[in-house]
Amino acid sequence: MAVSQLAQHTALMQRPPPLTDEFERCQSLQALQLLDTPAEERFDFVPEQAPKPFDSFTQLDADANRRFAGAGLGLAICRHLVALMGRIEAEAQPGKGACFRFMLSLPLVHGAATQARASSLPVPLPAADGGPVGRVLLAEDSPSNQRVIQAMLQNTGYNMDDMANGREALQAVTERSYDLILMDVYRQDMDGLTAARKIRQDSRLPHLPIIALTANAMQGDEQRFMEAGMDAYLPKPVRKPDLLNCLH
Amino acid sequence: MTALNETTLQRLAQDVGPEMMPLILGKFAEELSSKAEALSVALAAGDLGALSAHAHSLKSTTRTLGLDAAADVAAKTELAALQEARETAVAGAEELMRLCASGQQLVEQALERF
Repeated sequence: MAVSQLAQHTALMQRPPPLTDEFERCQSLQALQLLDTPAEERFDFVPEQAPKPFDSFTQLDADANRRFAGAGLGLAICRHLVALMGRIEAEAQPGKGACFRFMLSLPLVHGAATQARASSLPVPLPAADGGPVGRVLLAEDSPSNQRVIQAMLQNTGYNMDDMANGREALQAVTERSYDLILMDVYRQDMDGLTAARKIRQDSRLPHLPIIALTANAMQGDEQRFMEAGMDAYLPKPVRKPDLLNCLH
Repeated sequence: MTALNETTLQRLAQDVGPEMMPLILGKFAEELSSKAEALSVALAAGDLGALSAHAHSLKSTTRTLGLDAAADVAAKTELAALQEARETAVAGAEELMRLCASGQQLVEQALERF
């Protein structure tokens, strides 16, 4: 939620083009840095103002013609949320932008490191010209589940090709460019792990993310998925926030 | 007749959009029918491999839809078939076929609400 607040708040201040974000992780540190925004659109402050962005109802730029609107609550909310689990800090260079970083002390959960998680970050949106922003390949033999995933991707800007068997999916990735593969790990003709291995063994193919779909991940499954070349897994039934999180 | 898990159904509607529910529920009804038929064929042939595959597929389909009792039976049937516990697998498949039939009725009732 704090990430969402921070991203939304900063996105408010920094008008399009969209932000690029970069997550840095280590065992006890998570940091979000928002970078690569044109200089004139960057939010910044001088070092003496460092604590002020987190004050309630405070706008650093009090000028009537200030660039950024708002009640001055966004970062105060961030500070309160993060304070529940850690701390947040900001640094800036005038004219260059600001960096917000928060640190959380969280316990490591075995086996959960690669499970794709629900996200409250903004969902991907269609391209401004209405064209697709990406393409997803779904290897899933249940027509109902195919239809569900397709409906979840509606209005996200992502197109989807569904393949009923692993061989078709393997053929498809050599003929068309995809941003993501969603692969059911158990398939009648060729299981998802075999298909993933074959995709990874094909040196002509770029490394595109492969997400395993599984109805009941058991102990050791995650290791098998990774060894087969998959990047993460989504438990079935797939939830829309989890699916959209994979597209970020 | 076992019930549809209303929470699951509402989540599904939220994720796909209520306007898509008639189409999606129709697909589920078709799939329950075709998979029950496939189970019947596998049972008649004594094909535990096919039985396991169909049970696996039904496990996922029924869980997505909120037919939790059917999903649980499908999981047990799949496991029994994989372990070649023929008697348990056959009993499970027969129960699963019944649950598919009642599931179709539940889906049709749910269709009236969307």
